[in-house]
This record gives sequence, structure tokens and C-alpha cells, in this order.
Amino acid sequence: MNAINFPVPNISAIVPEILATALACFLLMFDLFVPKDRKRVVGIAALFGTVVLALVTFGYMGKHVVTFSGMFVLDSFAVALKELFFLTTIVVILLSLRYLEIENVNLGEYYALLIFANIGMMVMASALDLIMVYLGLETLALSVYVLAGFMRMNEKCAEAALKYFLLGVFISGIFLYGIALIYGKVGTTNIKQIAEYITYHGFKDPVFLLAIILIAAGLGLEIAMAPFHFWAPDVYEGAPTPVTAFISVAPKIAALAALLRIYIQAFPLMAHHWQTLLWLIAALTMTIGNVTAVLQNNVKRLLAYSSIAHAGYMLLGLLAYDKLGIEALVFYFFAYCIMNVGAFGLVVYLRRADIVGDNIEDFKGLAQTHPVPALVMVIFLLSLTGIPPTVGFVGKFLLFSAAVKAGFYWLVAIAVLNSVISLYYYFKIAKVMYMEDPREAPPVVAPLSVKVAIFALGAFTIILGLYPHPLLNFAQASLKAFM
Amino acid sequence: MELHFGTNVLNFPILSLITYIPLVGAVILLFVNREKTKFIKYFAFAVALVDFFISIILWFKFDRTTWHFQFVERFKWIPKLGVEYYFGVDGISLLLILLTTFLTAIAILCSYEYIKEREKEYYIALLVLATGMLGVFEALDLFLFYVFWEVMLVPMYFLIGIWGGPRKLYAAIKFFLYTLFGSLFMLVAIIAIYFIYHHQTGEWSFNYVKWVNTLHLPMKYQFWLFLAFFLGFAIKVPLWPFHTWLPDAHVEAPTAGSVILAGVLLKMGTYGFVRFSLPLFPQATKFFMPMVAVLSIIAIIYGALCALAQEDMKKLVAYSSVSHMGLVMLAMFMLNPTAIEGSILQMINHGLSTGALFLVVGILYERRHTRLISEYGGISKVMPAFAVFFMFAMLSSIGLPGLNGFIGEFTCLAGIFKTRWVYAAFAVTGVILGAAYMLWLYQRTMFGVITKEENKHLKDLTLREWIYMTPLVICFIWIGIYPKPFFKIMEVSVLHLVEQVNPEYFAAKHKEEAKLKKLIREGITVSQRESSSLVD
Repeated sequence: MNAINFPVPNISAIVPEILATALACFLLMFDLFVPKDRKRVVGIAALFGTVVLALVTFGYMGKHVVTFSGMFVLDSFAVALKELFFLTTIVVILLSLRYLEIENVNLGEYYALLIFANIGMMVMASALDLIMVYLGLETLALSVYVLAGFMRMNEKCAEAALKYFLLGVFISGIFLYGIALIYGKVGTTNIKQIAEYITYHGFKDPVFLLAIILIAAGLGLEIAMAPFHFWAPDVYEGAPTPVTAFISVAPKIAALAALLRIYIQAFPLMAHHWQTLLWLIAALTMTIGNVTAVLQNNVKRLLAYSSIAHAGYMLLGLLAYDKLGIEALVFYFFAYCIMNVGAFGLVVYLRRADIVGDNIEDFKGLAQTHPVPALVMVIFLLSLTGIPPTVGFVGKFLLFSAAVKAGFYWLVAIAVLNSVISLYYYFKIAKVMYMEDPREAPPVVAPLSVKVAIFALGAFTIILGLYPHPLLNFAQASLKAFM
Repeated sequence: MELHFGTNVLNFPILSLITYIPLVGAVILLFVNREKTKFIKYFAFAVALVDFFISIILWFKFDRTTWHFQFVERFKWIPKLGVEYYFGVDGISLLLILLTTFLTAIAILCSYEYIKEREKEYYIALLVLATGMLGVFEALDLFLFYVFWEVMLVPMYFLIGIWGGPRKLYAAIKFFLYTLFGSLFMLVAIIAIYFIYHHQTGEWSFNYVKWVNTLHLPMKYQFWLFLAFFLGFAIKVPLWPFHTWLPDAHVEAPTAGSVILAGVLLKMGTYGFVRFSLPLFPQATKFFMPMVAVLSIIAIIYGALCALAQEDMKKLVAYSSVSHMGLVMLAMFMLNPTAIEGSILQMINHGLSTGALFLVVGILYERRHTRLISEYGGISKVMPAFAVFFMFAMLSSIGLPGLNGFIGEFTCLAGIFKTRWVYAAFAVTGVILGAAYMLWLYQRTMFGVITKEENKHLKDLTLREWIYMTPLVICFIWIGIYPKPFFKIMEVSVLHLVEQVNPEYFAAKHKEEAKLKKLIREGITVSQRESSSLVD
């Protein structure tokens, strides 16, 4: 009788995940020894840990390792995404250091939870199996639910967390149902094997159609694409601002990347079907996001709707799903991360005494009292609108290019009209900053960490707008995963 | 065919220098203490003046015998996408660059008294705007062009929005939204051509010279691409019915903003047509010619009629711009050398004379803080020097022989007549109406008895106002009396353009000339025969 042969998994591929887990556990332990008024030290430890993680992970660029019986892959695409998550985390930690003290929720778990959320996203980025995607998604979601409700004494914040949790749990059930359907039909949840099954047996069975819809729905919550976007404005408004910055970027991109991998690698033959589906979703998401944003007077809510709209733009790259499309998408991930976190960073910048900084009134006359932050905010707004010379313009240019090349002319026309609408509400903020007089308010005392974060992001927005070459190269290198 | 990307006789990146001097000036101003307003003003003006003097080098070093691009700078900018940093000028853009540096200096000088608050930001915005505008006229890579095209909107938005009149917020965002709407469609068209070019040649490039010389766009594509570009440029011109942002923007903008807006920004639209739409889509241009002509004629007449009805001087000048730009557009689409030369010269003329008119209105506004025509009357008695300058500006705008407007309008009309006399007949009504609203305006404000008490003690022009009005008047007279150097500069480029877009024109012309020569030769032989028979 043969002994059952267990394949030894190749551990090297999950070194970043192992290190991240170790970091998170270390932070929890470390937190016990740090006195209550000194919790900032935990944050700084998390910051250094993340930087180290980013450096270690970068070493894997260009590698292609499949391990755990084909459930997990470490390729350039995954590495690029992980770098993006680390970048977001680093900036968010910088924004949080002082913020938590002001909000009086200065707890060490915060940083550990951020890292746990990262682990979830890293797994999603590397998943080659639907179950792995689900595991990553749940790890991410559970950490983020807690983060969103971190100011638990604040009514709005608690409401936000509960809303997010209830909706999230419901949708994850739907996602699981989609996976179950596929498993019932194909007998496996492995992405490659699903693709093989479809190649040999075709996809006539309507189960597949239902499954791709359910998968889109399951991931659509984190992407905040219509019609699963309703949670976003409330949660964004209620959550602590650095967490909002985090939620608006990292989970959205992780879920989009997972969707990309599933659709491209498991259902390439059904491209026509999911393209039709995503076409509709993209048009809806962009339009709903932009049109509703026009009506907002709360900057966090406004940016929430704008982030919904940006999810719509990003779907253009997914729709094209060729070389250019994915390259554009990866480029836009980074561009979006830089400019969107930057814009939320300004809201953090304005947080003081009893002012949250998210009311559009709080930006009144900022150009006169604080000319440099106001200028940086204008740079972010220009970038979000897609006006040169910013990274957002190059990103939008690439996305539009990909969509034009793939022949989605009408969708591009819709996207163009949406960009025009978006100009109106983004520049509502610029208008308030530059064209209205400052109002009486306590002075802004932003800590150095916040300043460093937003000025660095502002500089990146311009530099990568004028010289996008390095980022383009990076995006192109990440493509090798799909070739 | 070997492509010729142009030459640079100076072996020196003079175009970049001209473009970025204002930007560098703006960056330096960022670090100047905002209390030192006097220094900021003089520094900004000095920067603009230096820029203007450097740009004059172009005029002297420009080779008038070739249509190739000159003072070229060309290197790879984003190699992955095939984007080049490609600057160059030819006879069409050279004059517009000079106009831009000239008007920027004047615009800065005219703001000294008008702008009383947040001066630092104001001059920074003006200088950044200058960089954006110059880049638009110099860029020969469509990607680069688009970058400058959009960049320039931002400072203009702030100029109108911060230092504008009572409805500035509305006017600023309307201006921004309208222009962005058009230009985004243009962007999509640029992307589409980019792919078509790649499909045809296997190369990624936005290079203008490559596109114009190697692309073969089927009419089916040209149709849509032309329309997308049309939307981008026509909103900027502005062509009827896309003009509604213009009166709002002009009325609310500060004087310098109006001068730049009318003087340079509107020219970007017409420049875009002549530089990009015409040579890239020749068939579509001919196909759409009647449509553009009709829209232009409507603009000419509608703009003039609206101007007649205005009570606000600035609005009157704004509508007169719509009318004049209509003539420029109409002449351009006639696709014969005379008309296009007239159209380009008229762009310059319109920049100078409308700029002067806005300055004149600004001078009155600074003194009385109103622009209503009914508030004035008999001003020539208290401000005689001012009245003279106003008269020059007005007569130049009307097109009085001896001043620049006449040369431009006459050449335009002559060119239009060559292609379709009916269009010329309609266009002339614009000129007549132009004389009506301008003379009427002058009469109501300058002549008659002084009706208002406040007007009795208005101060005549100050030295600063003399300084910025005089060069304009010199230009009026120079172009009016001796326009040859201006035509000489654009002649070869325009002929080349017509060859690209409308080669039939030359074929027809050659045929006619041959016919004429044949007739003359026959006449000579006949007369020779007769004379020889006489000798016999």
C-alpha cells in the first residue's frame, strides 16, 4: 500500500505573508508593553515593519512561483499589488499616528488590524483558487469592519461599522454561493482547472452565467461598484478618516485584482458574457458615482462617491483585458492610490479640536491661511479629474486608450461625459478654498507625519505625471503574469 | 518618403526657453513674501518683458523661404508610449507666439491698479497661463499639445474665479466645464488616431509630422475624428452655438483676463483647426465646409446683432469677438491661400484690437467702477488722450483703411469671394454691423454732453496707461500700412498647407494659367505675323 504522498509546499512564495503575520502578532504583543499614552510607538514599529515588508516583497518581482497545489501564486502582478497595499498602509499609518490621539482611541490594535487587513489582501492578490480568494476577502473584511468602527463611542462611526458588517456578511454569502455553484458543476475551485473544464465541456450550462454574476456581486461590494455601492458613503463618512482613506483604496483594488484574475484566467472563453455584464456595471457605476457626488457637501461623502466613479473607470481596463488594458489598470491602481489617499490626507490635515475637517465649509479660504496644503489639494483634485500634468491624467489616458483599442467607443463617451461632471464637484472644493474667505476657526496644527505624507503624495502626483516612465515600466513588468 | 522634422538654426532650445521663463518666474514668486506687492508686480512684468524680447529673436532668425518647422527641439519623453517632446514653429504659429508674449506683458502691466488683493497669486496665475499658451502654439506632438491645452485652463479658471466680477464663480466653472467637455472628446480622437497610426505603420507615435505625412485615414474615420476635434476647437473659438460661455467669462474676468482670453485663448481654437483639423482630415474638412461656413456666418451676424443690443461695454466687445472669430473661421475653411493668410492675420489683428478694446473698457472701469454705456457720455472732453486711443482701437476693430483691421478683413473677404461669393456677401454684413455697433458705442460714451456729475473730473491717462496702449497703436498702424512682412512670414507655410488640404486649388490654378499663357502666346504670334506682314 502506497503511503499518501503529500506534496511539500514551496514556502518561499509565501514569505511576505508569513512575515506580515509575524509583524501583526508582534505588534499585538508589543502593544502590551507600551504604556497607554505612548501608543504611537506601536504605530512607528508598524511603519518600519511595513517598509521592510515592502522591500522584501520587491525582491520577488519577476519571479513566478505556483505553490500549495496550484492554489497560490507569486507572480509579478501579485508583487505589484502587494507593493501597492504596503504603500497605502505606510501612508495610512503616517496619517493615523496623530489622528488616533485626537480621537482619543489611541490603541495599539489599530496597527495590528491594518496589517491583518493587508494579509487578507495579499492572499487575494495571489489567489489561484476561489476558496483562497474567499479566505483573503474574509480576513480583509473582518479587520476592516473593526477598523471602520474604531471610534466606537461615536454614533456615526458605530453605525458605519454595523452597516458595513451586515452588508458584508450578506454579500460574502452570495460570493460563497457562486463558488459552490462552480464547485458543483466542475468539481474544483481551482482557477486553472475551471478554465480547462470550460475549454473541454463548453459553458452552455446557465450555472456558469449565474456564477460569474454572483462572483462579480461578491467582489463588487469591496469594489463599491453599482448596485453594491450603497454602503460606501455612510461608511466613508463615519469611519475615522485614515481608515476611510484605506478602505477607499486598498480593498477596492484587491477585489478588482481578484475579479480580474478570476475572469481572465478562469473564464476567458466567457469573455463576451462578462464583458456585457461589466459594460453595464461600469456605465452605471461611473454615472451614479459622479452624478450623486455633485450633490454632496461633505468632503468625505463626496470623495466616497468619487471613488465609486473611479471604480467605474477602472472597469474600463478590466473590460479591455488585453496587454494594454491590464497595464493601464495597474498604472491606474497606483495613480488612484496616490491621489485618493492624498485627498483624504487633506481631510486628516484639517482635523483639529472639534472640527472633523470633512465639511466643505472647513476648506473655506484655505488658500489664504494655508497656501501650500491648498495647492497640494488642487493638485490632487486635478489628478482625480484627469487633467495634466498629473499622474491621474496619464492613468486616465491609458484606460481610455485601452477601451478605445478594444472598441468600447460608447463606454468611453460615457466616461468622458462623466469626467466633465466630475470636474464640477472636485472644483467645488477648489472654489471654496480659493474663492471664499476663511472663517473663524481654531488654527490648524498638523503634525509632521501628516505633512510628510501629503506633500510626498503631492510631489509624486506631479512627478509621475510629467515622467510616468518608471511607473509604466513597473506596470508593464507586472503583466508578465498573464503572458 | 523621407520625413523632415525641421531644423534649428540656433542650435539652442529657444522655444523651451520662451515657454518656461514665465513658469520659472512664477516659481520664484512663490517664495516671495506676499507683502512685497511692488516687487511682485515689477518682477512679473520684467519676466514677461524679457520673454517678449527673447521671442523677438524668432522673428529675425526665422527663415521665410521654407515651410519646414524651425527652432525644433525633439527628443523622447515617454518612450513606452512613443510620446515625444517636440517643439517647433512655422509661419502659422510664429506670429501667434509673438502675440502671446506681447499681450502677456501688456496684461501684467494693466493689472497694477486693478488688482488690489492677493496680488502674489494673481501674477503667478498669469505667468503660468503664459507658459500654457505658448506650449500650445509650439507643441508638435499631439500628446504634448493636449497637456498644454489642458494645463492652461487651470490658471484661467482661477483668474476668473478669484479676481472676477460678481458672478465670477458661475462664469469660472462654466468656462472650465465647456472647454473640458470639448477637449476630452478631442483626447479620445487623438487616442483613436494613435491606434490607427500604429495599425498602419507598426509604430507608436503622436508626432504631428509623421501623422500628417503618413496617415491614410478613410473618410469613414475622418468624419468622426473631425467632429471630435471640431467639438474641442469650436468651443474654444467659440463658434455659434458653442459661444455661450464667452460673454459670461469675459464680463466676469478681470481686464487682464479678458485681454488674454480674447487675445490668445480664442486663437487656440482657430489655431487648432488650421494646424490639426485641416491637414489631418482634408476630406472631412471639405465635406464639412458648408456646415462650418453656415455656422460661421450665423456667428458673424448673430454676434454683431447681439453686440448692438448690449448695454454693458464688456459684453458688447465680447459679442463682437464672436462675430470677428466667425469671419476668421469662415475664411479659413475656404481653403485658398489668400483666405487662409487673411484668416491668420485676422487672428493677430483681432488679438490686438480686441485686447485694446478690453484695456480701454478696463481703464474706464478703474475710474468709475461701472461698465454700463448709459453711465458715460462726453468723456472725450475730460479724457482727450484716452479718447484718441479708444478711437484707434475702435477703428481698428471696424476695419478702417490704414489700420490693421482693414488689411485682415479685406484679405479674408477677398479669399472668401474667390471660393464662394455668396458667403462673402453674407460676411460683409458683419463688417457693416461692426461699424454700426462700434461707432454707436463710441458716440454714446465719448461724445455729447457730460450727463453724470462723477464724470466731470475723470483723470486722463496715466504714464503707465500710455506705456501699454502706445505699442498696440503702433502695431495697428504698422500692420495697416505695411503688412508685407507679416504676409511674408506665413506665405510659404500657408501655400504648403493648401497643397496638403486642397491640391485641386493649384491644379485649377495651373490650368487657368496655362490657358492664359496659351492665349498670350497665340496673341503674340498673331501680332508678330501681322507686324511681319506689315513690314512686307
